[in-house]
Amino acid sequence: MLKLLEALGVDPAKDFDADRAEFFRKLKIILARRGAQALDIVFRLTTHTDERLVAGAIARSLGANHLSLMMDKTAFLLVYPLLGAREARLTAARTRTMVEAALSGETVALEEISLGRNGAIETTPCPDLNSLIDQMISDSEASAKPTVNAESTERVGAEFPKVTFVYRPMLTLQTKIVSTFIVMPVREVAPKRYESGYEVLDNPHDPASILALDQFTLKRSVSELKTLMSSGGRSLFAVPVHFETLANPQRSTEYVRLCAEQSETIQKRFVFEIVGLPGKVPQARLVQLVAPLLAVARAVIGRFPSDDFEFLEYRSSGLHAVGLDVYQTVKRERNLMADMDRFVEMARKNRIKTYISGVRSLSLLTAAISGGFDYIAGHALGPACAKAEDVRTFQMDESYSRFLPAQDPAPAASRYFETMPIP
Amino acid sequence: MMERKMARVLIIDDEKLARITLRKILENAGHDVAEASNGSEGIAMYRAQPADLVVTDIIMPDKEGVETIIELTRDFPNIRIIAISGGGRTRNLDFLKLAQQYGAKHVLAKPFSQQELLGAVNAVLDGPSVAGHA
Repeated sequence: MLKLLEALGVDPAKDFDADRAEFFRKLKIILARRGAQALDIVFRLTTHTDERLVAGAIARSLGANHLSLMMDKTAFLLVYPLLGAREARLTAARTRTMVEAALSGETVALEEISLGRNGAIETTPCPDLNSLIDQMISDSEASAKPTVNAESTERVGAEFPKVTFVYRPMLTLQTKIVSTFIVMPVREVAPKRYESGYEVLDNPHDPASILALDQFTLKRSVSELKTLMSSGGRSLFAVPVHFETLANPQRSTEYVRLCAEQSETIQKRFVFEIVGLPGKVPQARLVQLVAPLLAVARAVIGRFPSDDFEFLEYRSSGLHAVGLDVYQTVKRERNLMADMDRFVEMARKNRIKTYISGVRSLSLLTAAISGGFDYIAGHALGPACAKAEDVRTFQMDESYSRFLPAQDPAPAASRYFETMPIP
Repeated sequence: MMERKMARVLIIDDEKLARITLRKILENAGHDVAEASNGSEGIAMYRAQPADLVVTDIIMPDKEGVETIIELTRDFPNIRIIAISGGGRTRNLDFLKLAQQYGAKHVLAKPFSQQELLGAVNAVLDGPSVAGHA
């Protein structure tokens, strides 16, 4: 990395500028953590506009361990030493999108720069964000062997013999009603130990398998919902559907066709949760993902990475809520709680509702409630169920009951509350 | 005014600035103050050296305030606790109600004045409960 920067004329031994000194100080700290495995690519972003506007947009786009350096009044270096090459390209492309938005649509050049074997600088124009996302998907398709015949919905589920489903209650904070159940495909890996999300798949990088899992989940949700409705249950189902399924037109069509085969009564009970979103998805792209689902569902919500706070114009994409899953995060609770507060704050600024799932401790639960998430789910709230249940009220003291001597259970609700909008 | 005997007060709050402020107010009033940055640490400190009064925040990482109050009152039935939390948000008032339900002798919604804090401290220390230690 330092050789590359030196080749670009950015030399820590020669530069005494305060900004550059600070840049190198931070870079050396990051490099010390990663050593020889640090990414040896930088990105050069070039504009023709006031550098203060550009610098501001870049600063807003940078995550932890991302660095930028102004080369001159029109060019900035973007450095992501801890990311992989593909992730770095995506991140740089997102930064370009943000800069272009700040410059009212002015086209901004972005190049990827590395050192060739002969030590010469090699420069490649960086594709735009949408192209990179499409490329990422087609790469994973090309490298994966087909494990399922996606044409046949009859066979859906046959390749997931170990996958079962649990139903996670979700609290609507404003009304204190549990009226939605998140459908979760899980795979038991040891007695009472389950994997969920992509981990239920043998090959989590195979889009065909992901589509098959999404179809399997949908079919099981329909069946479960019919059972619930036959006994008068009025709950809504939050059904996960992966970004990989929706991002490809053919797979998206195939999935939506299966949704459209369901009755309107079923459709109005389904809230689709888009999972696996890469974060900082441009609003136009989000519209492409959400619109087909909106036609066949009550609402659509999207799960985002915990460090993604850019919800600009997401509301107009048709998303009802943006969400976080904190179950598998390795962050310390203190830091996680700060992220949660920021997430809600940014969503509120953009007038979009929020949800959080995977809330695993009472401390995170109180932080989520206090922080103002609109919908909350996780085992701190209550256990997942083998069967979806009817709507019920939630008493604030339910979560603490396990610490107390045995007492009467909370009263069940007799009223049905609407919690998600009818599109 | 009756002269107050110095009490040992344990403050449990994850915000350093809040701990510093509370400590200053309580020390100026003549109390001896100990600090913990979350519920687990506070409970461990109380077990090692009980205090006359515990002042605990509600929203904290690792172990939050209501759970802390439940555990402390379960193991030390005569303990005196004041619960504090951000009062600007309605939902935090719910937690203060729970804190009172589970054994806090007094609750205070932030922001509160020095007088309000000291008034609550005096009221709780003068109250009927017996401190958990001699």
